[in-house]
Amino acid sequence: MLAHGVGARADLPLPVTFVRVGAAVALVASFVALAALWRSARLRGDLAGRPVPGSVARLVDSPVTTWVLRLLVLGLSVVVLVAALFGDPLQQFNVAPWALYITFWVGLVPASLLLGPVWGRLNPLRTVYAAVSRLTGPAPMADSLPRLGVWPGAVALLAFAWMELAAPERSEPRRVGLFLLVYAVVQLFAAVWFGAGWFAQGDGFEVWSRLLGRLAVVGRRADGALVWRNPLDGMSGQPAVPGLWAVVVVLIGTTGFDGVTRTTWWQDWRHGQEGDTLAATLGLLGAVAVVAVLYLVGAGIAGRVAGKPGVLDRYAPSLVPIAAGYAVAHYFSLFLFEGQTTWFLASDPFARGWDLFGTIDNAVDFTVVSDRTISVVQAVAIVGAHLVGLVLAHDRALEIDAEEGGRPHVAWMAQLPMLLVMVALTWGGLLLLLG
Amino acid sequence: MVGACPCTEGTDVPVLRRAVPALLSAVLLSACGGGDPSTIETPEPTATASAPGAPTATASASPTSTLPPGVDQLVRVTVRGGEVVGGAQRVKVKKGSVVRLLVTSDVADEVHLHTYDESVDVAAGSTAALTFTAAIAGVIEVELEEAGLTLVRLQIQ
Repeated sequence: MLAHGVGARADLPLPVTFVRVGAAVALVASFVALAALWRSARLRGDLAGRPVPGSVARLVDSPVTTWVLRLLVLGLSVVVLVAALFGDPLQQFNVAPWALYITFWVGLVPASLLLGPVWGRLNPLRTVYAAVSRLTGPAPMADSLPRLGVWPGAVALLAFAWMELAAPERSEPRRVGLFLLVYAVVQLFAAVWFGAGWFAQGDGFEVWSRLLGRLAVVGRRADGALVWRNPLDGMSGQPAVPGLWAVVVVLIGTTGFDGVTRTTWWQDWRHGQEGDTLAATLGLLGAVAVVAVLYLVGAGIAGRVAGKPGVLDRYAPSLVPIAAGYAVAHYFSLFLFEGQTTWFLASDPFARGWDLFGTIDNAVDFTVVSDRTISVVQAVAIVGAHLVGLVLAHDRALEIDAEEGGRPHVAWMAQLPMLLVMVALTWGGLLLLLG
Repeated sequence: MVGACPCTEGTDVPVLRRAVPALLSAVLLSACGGGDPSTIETPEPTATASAPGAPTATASASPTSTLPPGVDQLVRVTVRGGEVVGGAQRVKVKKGSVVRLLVTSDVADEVHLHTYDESVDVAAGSTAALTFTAAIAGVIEVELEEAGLTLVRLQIQ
């Protein structure tokens, strides 16, 4: 059966050399960062960036572009939903589970890292809400929205992860269709109450895309200009909204649990009982809890040392690269191999015997990338993410310290707990890949 | 609407510009070194095929059986009472070798080798054989379709 939605092939264990070197690099880099990086906060957040050429900015920001793309994405989403509910009942022949679990969920990561918060712009739920809101009028609870932060987004992501990793028959098309319907209805209902701003806080996919989009080389400056910028600046500009730490913890914990289900340790324990929803649910919550405890202890101590309460959400952005690294490490090969299946099955989405793109009988080409390349990408993703996170955490500690009066020794000590948390997560990520 | 703003070009990070390529090179260079199968430290509950021609038994004991011609590795699994005898193991397979999977089941079902998408029906109380060339690397599941039972995982590299 299928650990992460669809696909019954798992990556080979990472070579031990990679794990050792990667772990050493992460640890050494952490202390080099502590000792050698800058002494006062330098990242400029939303003030940084060099404007893109005017013609490009005009094209990107044009309402025509926005609406064409939105309608396209809405159309594709409807096709996937209809295929799920009315197409072939078997997962091997229905495009919907592949489109959701691989093309969309995994694809969101590179798309957002490269292009910015794409789902914020293209979210079909927003398109539907634009129509619905004409009938329902102004949102009655829009004022309460800021207080919620991204807590609802964390819940949404946890719900999706449960669906992907633990729900019974999670790869069956009808289940996928049901999930999509329920998710859409709940989100639209919430938007009717809280307004369009809900999606940026309550739609887990949009929240994830917006966070990842901060690491892109393009971004939106404080004055609204579309700019090229250093991803570190981009992420440092992420405001510390309530619940941000929960979103990051859910993402790392759930992806980590996906990795756990691929290890011999878990598989031996499960004795081949792949369908056990209870064990998977407990494991999922356990993994999230472990990451949560790690983070809360680390950020908590960091805040105490700095003499500043309430830093929990301010260190969360430095873990976003680690969440992205985990996602790349666990899903890279899935995207390139089993992800091809989406395009094959798209030739006949409604089980009518069509062959729209001539690909319905194609088989996955497993030669597109070698297992050695996969291992290298996995290790580089985890370790590289750690390096990026280090710089972000360092700068954030300095920024917090500056607010408290600027005591360099304190800034140094305040960083240490977060660095250790990040080393723990990186080592954990590498160990999970040992299989 | 680009008005006046206290905006800057952005932050240059010279330490990163030097450190990151060095660190990445370290990782990539290590990729050229180790990584051969013998360095993989997967918890290994069964014997691995260390010499060509040596059979690998996962569940039943048949240490002295010789291999059929053209077959490099035998993998045996027994299903009894809805469970795999000895539990679903992870068996190492050399990429490119010819593997014969022998599944003995007390119920009729279909043995499905994922990723390779090969199947063979097994009758109740008998043994079915599925022979294939392990061309695709990875950890591949073999499943008893109707029962939804994972029989064995083949670590092909």
